[in-house]
Amino acid sequence: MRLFGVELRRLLARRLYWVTALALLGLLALIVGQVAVSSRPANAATIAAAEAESRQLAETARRDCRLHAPPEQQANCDSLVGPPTDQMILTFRFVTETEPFVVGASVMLALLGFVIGAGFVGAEWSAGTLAHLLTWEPRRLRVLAAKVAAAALGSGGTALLITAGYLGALYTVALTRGSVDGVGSGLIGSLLLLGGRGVLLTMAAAAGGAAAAALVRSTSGALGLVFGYFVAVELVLRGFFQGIGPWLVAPHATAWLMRTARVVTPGPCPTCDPRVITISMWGGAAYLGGLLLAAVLVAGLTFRRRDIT
Amino acid sequence: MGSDAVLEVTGLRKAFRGIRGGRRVAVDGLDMTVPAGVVHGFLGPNGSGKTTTLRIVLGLVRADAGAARMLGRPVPAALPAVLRQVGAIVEQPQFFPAFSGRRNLRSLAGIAGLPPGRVEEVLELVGLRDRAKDRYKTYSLGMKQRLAIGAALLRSPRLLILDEPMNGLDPAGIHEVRETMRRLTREGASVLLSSHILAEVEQVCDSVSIISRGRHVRSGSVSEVLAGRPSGEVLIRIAAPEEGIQILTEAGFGARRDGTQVRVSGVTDPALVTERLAQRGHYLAELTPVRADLESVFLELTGPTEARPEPERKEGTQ
Ligand SMILES: Nc1ncnc2c1ncn2[C@@H]1O[C@H](COP(=O)(O)OP(=O)(O)OP(=O)(O)O)[C@@H](O)[C@H]1O
Ligand SMILES: [Mg+2]
Repeated sequence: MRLFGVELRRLLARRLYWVTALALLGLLALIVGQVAVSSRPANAATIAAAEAESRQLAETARRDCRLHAPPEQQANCDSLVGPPTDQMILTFRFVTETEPFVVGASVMLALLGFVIGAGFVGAEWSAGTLAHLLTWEPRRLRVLAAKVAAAALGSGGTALLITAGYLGALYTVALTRGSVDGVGSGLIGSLLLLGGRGVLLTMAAAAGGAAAAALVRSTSGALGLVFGYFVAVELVLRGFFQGIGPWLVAPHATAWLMRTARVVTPGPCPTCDPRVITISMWGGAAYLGGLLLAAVLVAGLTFRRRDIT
Repeated sequence: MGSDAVLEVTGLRKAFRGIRGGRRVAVDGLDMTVPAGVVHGFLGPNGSGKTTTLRIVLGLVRADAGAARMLGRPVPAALPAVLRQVGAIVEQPQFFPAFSGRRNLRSLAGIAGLPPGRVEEVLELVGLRDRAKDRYKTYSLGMKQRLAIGAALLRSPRLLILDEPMNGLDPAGIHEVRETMRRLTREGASVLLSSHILAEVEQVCDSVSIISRGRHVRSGSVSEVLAGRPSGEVLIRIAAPEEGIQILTEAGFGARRDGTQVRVSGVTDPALVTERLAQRGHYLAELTPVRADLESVFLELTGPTEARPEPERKEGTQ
């Protein structure tokens, strides 16, 4: 426990942690700003303005038509109308439009968690601080567990704060410049659950990053290994062999976040219909949890035996 | 194998795997006993396996064979308990660069459950109080070394293991470390000082173990093992060095220029050198006996094949 406290304070003192967390925060702030700028509430004034603009556009279109259309089509010109006004008012509707924003933030937070976790452990290898630490606490599994836990909880806490702030900011934008019509406790609850699953995914990614760095003994090695895997296997190889889809990480992470994921795989014969496999939320959780457990176990067993010079 | 030994290793062996599958033997059946209550030197040339031995007993490196007991208990098995009473620096310990010296020590004290007051005591002891609030990465080499020594002292160790601790220290720092080692032994603690510098071991150690090529060569009290080993060499200063060299060579000594002086070897009695030169009308301005250096002690203790530098020993691919 003391070890964990020390590790957590060390994590929070790291520049990588602050730089990446603030960068992500800045990015999310930009997104919220963009939504705020483009959104207009649908009230009497904006509706009147939109109707005026629509009439104006219709007017212009009819004039152009009469000038340029061939004589036999001139009759149609009078029937031209402007665009529907509800499409002209880009209202940010909290009820229908928030979920994709939260999913996007969760994915970015998971990436952040992975980088923070890998950097936290990788830096120890490159700085050579590990050997000295182990002359203070020789129980290596404890040392590693404290690091993994600090990475997970530090990143998880950060993700929790950022997700909550993001949801709050989006709600404020909807309240002041968009629409919160239809927001009820059911929707709030499901958004909070979605954010919570994002936080858990971030924690898992951070723990996985820490385990990967413990295994390969460097930050860049861990990042290269995992991002290399995603590009080579989950992107390129999957492009060639659709059939491996149901075994990959990405669809399971999707299932966990979105409550379900559908993976399309080729049918049993070339002319057969493709098969659709559905991964449930708990299926995704079991897969990701098992993967994380395996990674941490392998990292722990290797770390326990390794010569540290 | 006295029960009052603070560290005993028997038959310790470690081979590192080389890049191309060969194995480099770093420690080769080492036996060593460090008695309690003294400063014990661990002396050996570069690459003789000192650091590897210390890493093994501290649990950083896994031995291939052999056994070790520290403070009476088997290690690495009992390390979690034993290390509470041990302070160790191995090579140049690294601390967290973004933390201040004080914060680094506080972290360690936190892990060990020591009060923050102990950190202040140690900072004072190693003379880092004024710079304690600065980041570790801004420290000079000697300040880093002082912090490392401070960390090793933090737990008020019964056994202090220091691997080449004088690296980078100024004379004041060296003096302070020596004083600290002596004070600790007066207080009943024991010190193991690893070094490749004979003079350093001679000055502070009560007893010594000499290691070469990962094997124990000799051990005992410093006076037995190291003292009174004339090298058979003297440095002389005379007005006409070239003539002096000729005279001494004719007389059967080895003689060669060494800066402004002449190095004479094969000297059993320095009076003979004086006599020969005086007979031919040359008078010495200065004569200094050359003290035995590690190399010559090794030559003498182990025979010419064991002299520095340590050659690489590799075993066949496994
Ligand atoms: N991690 C390692 N991998 C491979 N070989 C190693 C490793 N560590 C040490 N060695 C080899 O083991 C031998 C002993 O090294 P060690 O560091 O123990 O010597 P030392 O007595 O401490 O030397 P020095 O006086 O230079 O500090 C050397 O040949 C060294 O190259
Ligand atoms: Mg060494």
